[in-house]
Amino acid sequence: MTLSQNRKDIALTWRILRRDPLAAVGLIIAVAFCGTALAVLILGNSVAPYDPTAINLSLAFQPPSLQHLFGTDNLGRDIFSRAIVATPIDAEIAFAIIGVSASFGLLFGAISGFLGGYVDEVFMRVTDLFLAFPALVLAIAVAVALGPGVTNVILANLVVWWPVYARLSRAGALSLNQTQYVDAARIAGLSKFAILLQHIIPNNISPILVYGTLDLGNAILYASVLSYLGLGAQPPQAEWGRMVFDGQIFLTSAWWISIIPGIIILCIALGFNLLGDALRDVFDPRYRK
Amino acid sequence: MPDPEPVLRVDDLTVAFETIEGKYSALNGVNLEIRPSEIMGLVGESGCGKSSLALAVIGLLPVPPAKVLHGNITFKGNDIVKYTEEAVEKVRGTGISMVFQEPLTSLNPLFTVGDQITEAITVRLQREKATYTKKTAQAEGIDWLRKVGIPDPEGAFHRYPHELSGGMRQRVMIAMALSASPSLMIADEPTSALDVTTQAQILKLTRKLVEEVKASVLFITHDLAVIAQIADRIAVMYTGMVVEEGTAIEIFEKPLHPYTQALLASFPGKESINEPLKVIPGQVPNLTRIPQGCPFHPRCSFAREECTTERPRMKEVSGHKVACVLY
Repeated sequence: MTLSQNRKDIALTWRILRRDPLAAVGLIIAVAFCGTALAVLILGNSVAPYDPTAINLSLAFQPPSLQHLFGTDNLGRDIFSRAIVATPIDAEIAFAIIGVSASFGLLFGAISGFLGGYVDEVFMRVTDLFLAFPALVLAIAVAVALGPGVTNVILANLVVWWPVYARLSRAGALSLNQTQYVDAARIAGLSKFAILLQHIIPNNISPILVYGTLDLGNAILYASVLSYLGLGAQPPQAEWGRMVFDGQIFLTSAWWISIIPGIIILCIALGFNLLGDALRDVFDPRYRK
Repeated sequence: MPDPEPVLRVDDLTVAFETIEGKYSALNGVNLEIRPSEIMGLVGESGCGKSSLALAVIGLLPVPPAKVLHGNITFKGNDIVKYTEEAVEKVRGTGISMVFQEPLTSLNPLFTVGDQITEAITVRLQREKATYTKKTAQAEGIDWLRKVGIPDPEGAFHRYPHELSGGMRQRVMIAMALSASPSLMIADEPTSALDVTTQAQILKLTRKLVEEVKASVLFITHDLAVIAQIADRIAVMYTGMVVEEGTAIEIFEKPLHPYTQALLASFPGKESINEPLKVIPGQVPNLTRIPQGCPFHPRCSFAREECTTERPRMKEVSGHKVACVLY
């Protein structure tokens, strides 16, 4: 039963990808991103063709060529290699931000919307409090207060990231609360906890997952912004946002140093957006047949 | 022979919805009795309080804005209006179950039909502290699907709600409601969203199964054709009040209240095929401004002076009850 269900899911996914080539592009980008990140995590810097931190001033400012696909930077480091080893950092930041804030927001919002009354009022005012701050400014403030570093970038973003998920989950819970199957479950004598676990949260997962995938691109953007501002990964550790910053003074003479990492960020963000769109179709039970 | 103890008794139940636009008096002193193994039909136009009554009985009235002003609901000897929410939760599922109007939205789209019916059965078995395994609960679920006349019950058990037609889904809902072995099943317009042939099948099935499990039914509908097919007794509601109550035969053969008579006259019959449809003049009054005296008097062709001032009380007239000054 489960096996045939899995096979059906795979077949459905395949059909959606064939019908929608943009979804396939999104999937390829997402898989390439995650694959590279995993490869670097497991195999280390040896995945890259050159040592990403080796300084060789005689090779500085090489434009993109077959030897150096993305060229070299002002210190003669291979940009392609640096871009590759930077992948797990951004993957880690993005997945941690989305994973934690989506799970927390899902639970927080579902409880708020389902219980209603005072609980809802208190929970939502807390959410409003966090939403009221401009997200980036708050994230920068938290990151500055905690000090630079990857973990702190994650923490800083979490503070501003969860309220959207809480709102989304609450909206879902409110409308699910009105459905007849939730009424039916109440009449059947199911406890509030059981209804929350069996009806409200499962029905809330797919919109959260779709939004989360769309949002992964945003999270990568935010992580890059904080690194660009010098609050994220510290040199010599390679990071895309940091690479854009390091290269910007050479923009007129050696554009590839900052433009290429910028394009990579753009592509990854776009890829997750396309994938999120496609996932919406996959998760809609009406498409299951 | 004295009447057996009623399963459900509603005494003078008055419920209002307090909104910004004013106070909607949804129920204005409803009196109703449902005896064991009896199908009570509740008819009335839209907005006469049928569904509010159902929600009040099952404890799902949205409070606020709804408020029970006075009256009692006695279910198997327990007054359930006075209960706190926790106590109501315990009563639910132990004796009252419900079938809703929209079979589309009454099943969770994420789980298979089997998951949901098994859940309902499991809840009951846990309450009865019976020993069971997942397998036996599932077998019982499939058995119920067979009883409600679903072809290929084993196959349907593993299907998702959207893979079934409206009629099939409503059968699933009935199976779920009855598998909880309730003393009272409330059916709120269960056939209104279905086509006529499916309606007839579902009604026949409901009758048969209800007799089998010895449940009482509160069957709510605006459709006289439906009520004629299923009900033992009928209560006619108007502006949150029961205006006439009697056996189905009495109500259809010799309706007493002018409203009931008008309702029946507006029902298209074989003989009136070439005549224009009769309608009741006027509209159901806005529930914020229920007329003084008899609420039906502005639309009533028999209305006299006293109807505008005094609200008529329920009277026993030749075996059935009616609230009208004519009797």
